Formats: sequence, structure tokens, C-alpha cells
Amino acid sequence: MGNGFQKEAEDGLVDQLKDKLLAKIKVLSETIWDQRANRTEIDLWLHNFQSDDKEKQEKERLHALYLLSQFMYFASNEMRVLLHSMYRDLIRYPIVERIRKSNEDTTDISFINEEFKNELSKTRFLGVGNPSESGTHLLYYFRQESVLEKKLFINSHEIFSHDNGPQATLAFPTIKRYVFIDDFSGGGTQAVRYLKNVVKLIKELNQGIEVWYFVLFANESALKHIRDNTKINKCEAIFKLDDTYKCFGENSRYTPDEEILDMDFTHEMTRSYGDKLQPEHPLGYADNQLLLGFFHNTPNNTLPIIWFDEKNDYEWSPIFRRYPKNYGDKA
Amino acid sequence: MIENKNNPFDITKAVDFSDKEINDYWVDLSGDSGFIKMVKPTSPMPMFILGGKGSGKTHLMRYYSYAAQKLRFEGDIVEGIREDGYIGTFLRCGGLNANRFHHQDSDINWSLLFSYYMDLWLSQLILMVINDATKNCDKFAGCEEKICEEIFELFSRPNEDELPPKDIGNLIGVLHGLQRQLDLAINNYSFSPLGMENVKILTAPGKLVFAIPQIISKYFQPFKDIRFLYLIDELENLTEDQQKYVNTIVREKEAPCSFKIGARLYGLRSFSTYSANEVNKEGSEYELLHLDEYLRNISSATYNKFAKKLCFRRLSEAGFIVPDIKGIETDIKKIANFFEIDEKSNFLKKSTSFVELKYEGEIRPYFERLKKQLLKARQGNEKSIPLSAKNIDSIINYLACSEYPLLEKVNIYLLYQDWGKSNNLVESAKIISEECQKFTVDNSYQCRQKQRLNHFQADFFAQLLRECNLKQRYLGVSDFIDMSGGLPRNLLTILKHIYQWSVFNNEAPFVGNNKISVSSQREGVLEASDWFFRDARIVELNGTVIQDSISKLATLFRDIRFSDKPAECSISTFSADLTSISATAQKTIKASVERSLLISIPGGQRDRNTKRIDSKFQLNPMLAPRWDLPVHRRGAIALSTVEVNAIFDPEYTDSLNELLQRRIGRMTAPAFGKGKFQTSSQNDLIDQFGD
Repeated sequence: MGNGFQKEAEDGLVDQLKDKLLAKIKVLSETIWDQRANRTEIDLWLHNFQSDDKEKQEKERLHALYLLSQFMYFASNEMRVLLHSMYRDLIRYPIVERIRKSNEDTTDISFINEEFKNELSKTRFLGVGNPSESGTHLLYYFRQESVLEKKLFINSHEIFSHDNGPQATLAFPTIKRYVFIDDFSGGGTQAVRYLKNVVKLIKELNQGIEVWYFVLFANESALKHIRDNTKINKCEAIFKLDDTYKCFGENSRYTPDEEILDMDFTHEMTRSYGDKLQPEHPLGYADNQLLLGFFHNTPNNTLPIIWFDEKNDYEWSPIFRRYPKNYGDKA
Repeated sequence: MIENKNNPFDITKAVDFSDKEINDYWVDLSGDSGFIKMVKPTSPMPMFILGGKGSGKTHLMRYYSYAAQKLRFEGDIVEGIREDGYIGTFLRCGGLNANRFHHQDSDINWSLLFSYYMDLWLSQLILMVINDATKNCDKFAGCEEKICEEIFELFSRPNEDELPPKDIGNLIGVLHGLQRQLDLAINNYSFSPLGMENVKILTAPGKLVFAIPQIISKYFQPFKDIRFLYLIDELENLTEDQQKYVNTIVREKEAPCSFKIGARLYGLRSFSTYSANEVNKEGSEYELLHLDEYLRNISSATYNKFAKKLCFRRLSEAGFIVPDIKGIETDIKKIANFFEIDEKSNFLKKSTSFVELKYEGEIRPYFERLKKQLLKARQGNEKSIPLSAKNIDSIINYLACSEYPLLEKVNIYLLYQDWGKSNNLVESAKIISEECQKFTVDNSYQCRQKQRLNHFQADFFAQLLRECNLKQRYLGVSDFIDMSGGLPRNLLTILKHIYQWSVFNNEAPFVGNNKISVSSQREGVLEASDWFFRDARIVELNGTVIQDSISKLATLFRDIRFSDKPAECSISTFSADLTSISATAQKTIKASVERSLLISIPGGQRDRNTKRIDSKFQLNPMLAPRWDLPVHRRGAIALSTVEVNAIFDPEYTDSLNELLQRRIGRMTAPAFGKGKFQTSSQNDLIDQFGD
């Protein structure tokens, strides 16, 4: 351990910074984090950072606090606002725009509303994943925010019918648009895995049907991966995560002003604990290195030191727990 | 996480209260100091109620308004008002958007227009109050038409055939219509100045304000002898010229009306009137109530009780505690029990145990510092101090009293005192040690240690904390009450922040026998202190100058407090001859007082040399935690003219370092102002003030 940190600790600068970070976390907790992190929980989490070298331990805990102070959390209110925005900006406005364009830029509001209603009646909304997964879970809030009729929401298996034999047909031949809603896409692989065949089959049965995929949060690379690997017509995110959100990336936005804080040290520390928690993805799934969480779950693309709560040989108390998917392939 | 209720101290501004909450959260002063005796709502003499932000002006004025009055009457409202002897009409100048009434390069008589607008507004307000108070009163119904007719007669009507309204409701409608016409013309003046041509002023300025109450009391017997009280709040939102309107109606007031006018300390821009520009004088035309000064000057027991009742009311209204059947006296005693505080007995043995824990087997930091100073003195070859290394060790051994770190601090201080007099330090340390031993056995033993502890205990404890790299401690409701400095909102703000920290620290504050931790109190107090400093930023003046000056002053106090031999105990106050300082320094001090950053101490202080009475100011105790200063006022230093200028006038800042080095140097070992040694404390000061 360098003498710099020791000297700063002696000068009280470390304590000062710790107080400052805690004060910030306190405000975050009582305002936008739904009081998810109180002092006891934070102390318990900081206790994960253990070292025989007390100075190193103190340094690690200070840097962990810094990371926590940068954590982006979206509570249910914020998610609702984003879902509202998704409906308004990615669905309603483009359809209205199309209606007006096809009708000599009409401003007749009654006509536009009638046409939009008609368009909606030929649209079905679906979640990504099975009914127990978060994409589907969000549909409930999406319906509330968009004030859409319940009948416009279906499960993906309802798209097709096998009433006329083993060959699938479209269950609703008049439908011209399927909109898939998701909460997060880090690399796009899960979305592709889920949507690829469904979209392919829809298109085979009716080339004219549009399939849209809208997600609240996505890495730009994930959107590209989905566009490149499926026949989806529109693929957009409300909150695009560019490479500045990659915690230890070259263009990272996490650049502390305080000289005591050393991002190289933070990187090394996070990787070292990450290796023990998630050896295959020590800095989050697909090396996304995110500091992001939602009220209903924390994506595994976030740093594992934040969320790890799975059973393995290493005891760890998470600060924003992730509820893992149980794929049933483990004992 | 422990489930916590809503923060009972969240609302700190009376303007955010409903009328019901104004009554629910009302707390009066006990004994002879009750608010009604101060405010005198039935008095014919108008009163200006001045106070800093958070002194309680709005709560006080709204409490005497009709909206709160009527909630206090369970039965007949008219009878209740008769019993009170007054009916209060409340108006906030803040909602006026007073800037509308001024346009440069305009021929319009905006003053007259504003007067008319205010007349219409006040008239509507008082008529609404009367209408509500008498809505179930048969007696009033019998004279309502006549009252309306006579009030209607006060207007010069372009259409003489227009019939007067038959009831107050419709009369209000007529006035409202006139006000709307005015609003339309005034609001659109920039775009359509011609709209102003249709504006007609239909009454003489001020006429309605007095005549309406007169007509009502003439015809409605139950209100014959009551005072019609206009409560005009937030006067600071009016321009100087607009305040002249208020001053004029104050000067020209007619029975049965009177006024209570609330304003911030800096809010009074003028005392002149439209009555031939005559100036209103205190005692002749109005009384002055300086609310926070009043609260600071009542006995500390009364203020303490008032403040604790304030806390209790918040906690009981929010359901944290249930009032005791034994009464409020029992209730308020419970407040102190919610906070963890320092154990002060036995020379703070328990509260200073951190020294032993932190430096077990090591030399304690204050002895380390003393040792360095003694070595430095030896190297400096001070003739009067024959110090060998052995002597230095002896001195430290003599001063040591490991069981009581506080006494070790006193012993060192006494050595510094002797050192300043250039005595034989080894001999001196030996005597100090002997006295100390006797004192530890019998704490009534009269010795220098006892004397110094009486004055400097809090400062020595503060020094101990600092030397051990620990944070200062502002603990317990009594400290918080003292910090509020006569501004009740400050107390509520402190408790609001402490509550938030306590919840964050998972403590369930104000529940059962739970105690709020030292850490939660400390963080909450510090946050409240920072808020107070930020909130006092002055936009219209040069806010940086004022805040910088306060920082310099506070840093000086801090360096004195943490010097080796502080000249004064619990330092947070200074005195100065304001007549000799620069105009800018005077202006900065005045603005600091008006923003409550400084508190003017009535009576001032007699200068030791000239016997002149100088002005005296205390740094607001809310700022104490920000600079590790004491919240209680004891000692005061006399600042010279050049020092005051250097602190409060940016033009003289260059001389500040040298002046302050000289002052702190006198309190710093080993030279004690003899100019031989540059000390680290002095270096700190240079860092603070810039080089």
C-alpha cells in the first residue's frame, strides 16, 4: 500500500471523503432509492471487503463506497415514467406521424384519433420471456401507463394457432403489428434467442406483419446485435447506455474528482472480488461493467460486487440484490 | 429495515401549514412572556413584527388571523370573536407579484394604482372574513343590506343608477370585478398600454380599508367594540415606494382598525409616507417587535421550555408520543431522553476514554506536541528555560494524569500560562502536578485547575477531540436549542436532519426508549449548519463578500479556540467600534446581522482601555458546527478597527494574514507572540486566509 493513502488517512481526508460519500448515499437512499440502502445494510456490504492489511481494507471500503455513490437505481415511479415515454415516443407518435403523412398531413384530430384507434386494434403487445420474467412483468405497468385495453396484450404462444393441423398459422390474421416490450438488454443475446424464431415464423406466415422490439435500457451494442440477427422491423431503447457507462472502460464517466480515489485500484479490487463471485463474468455479464439496478431486480450485467447473492463457496452480502433466474438446469 | 414514520420535522415553514396545522402546531411561551402580551392584537397601535428567516413571524400572524381564530371557536363564531376582541385579516405580500406595478418611462401614476389595488384587495379580504363569520347570524342578516349600501356609496360610480348589492357575497363580487379589470390592464400594460385608459380609480386612497370596518361596527352591534386587525405579512416583497402605501395607512389609521406588519430584518425599505412625505416614528406611529431578539432575551429557561414544547407538539401530532396525563411539564422532560449525550461527571472521564483506547502505550498527541514545542524552545535557546532532554521528559511526566485526559489538557494549559511568564518550567510543572493530584482526590479543592475548568472545559474537550482526529460533538436537545439562536425554524431544521440521519442509520428515532446515536446527531447538526450558511446567501448584495467575511471571522475564532493558550473561553463573539471602520465593513456587518449570520448583542461591550461602549456581535450558533465552534456564548474578543476592516472589507484583506498571525501568535507556544517562532497553527491560518 502506498504511503499516499496512509498520509491522507492521517490527515483525516479519508474520513472526510467517507462522510461526504455517505451523505450522498443517504440522500440517494431517502429520495430515489426507495430507502433500499440504510447504514446497517451498507456496513454489512462494506464488511465484504476484507483484508489482513487494515490500510488496504480501509482503502477498498472507501472505493467501494464511491462505486455505490455512483449507482443508478430506477424505482417504480421512474420505470413508469420511462414506460409512459416508451408508449408515447416509440409507439403513439410514430403511428400518428404515419397516419398524417398518408393523409396529406391532416390536422383533423378526430380523424387521427379514429385511425390511431384502428391501428391499435391491429396491434398486439407482448413481453419478452416467459410470464415469470421481468419483460413480461413490466407489461402490467406498461398497460397502466398507456391506458390500453387489456385485450391488446397477449402471450407469445397466442400468436400462432395449430387448430388446422401441425402446421402453425397466425391466430389473428388481421393483426399487422406485434410489439415486444423488455426492460433491459445488455448484449442482446437473450432477446435474439427468444425472438429470432418467433419473428422468423411470423414473417414466413405473413411478410407484411411488422415486429417491433422496444426496451427500456440497452447497450448500443445490444441493439445492433438484435438488429443484425433478427428480422425485427424496429428495435429501439428509451435509455441507451453508451460506452461511458462501462465502469472501467476507456471512456468511463466514473472519473472521481478526489485525488484519493484511484480508479485503477477500484478496477483491480472489483475484478479481484468479481473473480471469486462470478469467475466467468467478474465485472458483470458480457463484461458490461454497469452500475445499474431496478426496483424489481438488478441485471447481471452490473458489477457482481453490487448484487451477488447466489450460493457458492464465497459468502457475500449484496447491497442491491439480484434475484437470479432459475433455468432449472442446476441441481 | 426498521419501519419509520414520516419525518415529524419535515415542514419548517408556516406558509406550508394549513389553518388547522397553524393551530395544531401552535406553542405559546409560558408565564408572563405569552405571545398575546407581545403581539397585543386588540391594541390600536400598529406594530411592525421583524424577525430573521424562521423566527416564527408567519406562524404568529396566521395564528391571529380569522382563518385560525374560527377553528378555535367550538360554538358561536361571532361570540368567539367578541371574546377575542379582534378579528384578523391576513394578507401575504408575496402573492402580489409586486413588480407588475412598475414600468420605467411610463406616465402612469403607479403608486396611486398600487394603492387602489391594495385597497380593493384588503377590502375583499375583510369582507370575506365578515361574510364567513356572520353566515349563520340572524342579527347580521338584519343589517347586511344597509351595510352593503353604505359601502357601495364609498365608490364614485360612473353609472349613478347602478343599484348596490344586497349582500356581502355580491359586494365582494363587485370588488372582485374591479380588481380583475385592474389586473387585466396592469398585466397587459407592456403589450397594450392603451388598456390603461379604461382604468378608473373609484375611491380615495386608503378610504375603503378604514371605512368598511367602521360601517360594519356601526350597524352590527356584536362587532361594535372589536378591533379590525389587518395582518400584512412578507412586507419585504414590496418595493420602497409600495411600502410607502403601507406606511401611509399605518400613519393615517382610523378606529376600529389596526395593523400588524411582518417583515424580515432587512425588509423595511422605508418609513416615509404619502402624507407629505412624513416619516413614521417608532413609539409615535408604530411599535416594533423584534421577534428573534425577543426570544433570545427572554430567560433561557422560558425559551428552553418553549422550544421543547415545540418538539413535543411535532412528535405528538405525528403520533410518536402520547401526551402524559400529568401534563406538558412531564412531556417535555421526555424529549431530552431521546438523545445520546456525553457523560460529563468525573472530569469527563467516560467521554474522554477514547484517548486511552486510541493511544494505549503511546505518547498522547497533546504531549507529543508539547514535547516538540519544548524542543523547539531549547533549539531557540530561550535564556529563561534551561531545558535538557531529561527536563522535557520530567515536565511531561509531571503533567500526565492518564486517568483524566481532560486534566492533562488543563495542566498543559497552565504550563503555557507559566511559560508565557517565562518561569522555570520544570518547577512549574511540578507545582501543577501537585495541585492536580489534590484536585483529583477532592474536586472542591480550590486550585488553578478548578478555575480553568470552570471556564474552558468545553474548549479543552473540543481540543482533545480534534487532537485525536475525532469530530466535534454537538449533542442533546439543549445544545440544539442553544444553536437555534431565537429562530425556532433552526431547531426544527436541526431535528429534521438528525431524524433523517437516524432513519438512515436504522435507529427508529423518537420511538420507545430508543436513543438517537452520537453519529446521527453529529451528521444532522453539521448538515443543518451547512444549510443555514448556504441559505443565508444574499443574492441582491454581493453574497460572496458577506459569506467570505463570515468565514474569515469564524476561522479566526476557530484558531483562537484551538490555540495553545486561548485568550477567551468559548469564543464566538467580538466587539468593535463601528464608528471608525470603513463604510463597506459597516455595510457587510449590517447585512450579516440582517441575514442572522451575526447576532447583535444588546448593550454592546465596554472597551477595556477607553471605556467606550462598543458594538458586540455573536456568530450565529447555527454556524458553530461548521467551524467546530462552541454554541454557548461566553468570551468575547475586542477587534481593532484594522482587524474589522481586514475581515469585513475586501479592500483591506491583504493585511489580514499579518494581523491575525500577530493575534494568534500571542496564544501559541513556544514564542507566545514574541516573534521568534513560526508555528503550525499560524501556518494553518495562512492557508485559510490565503497567502
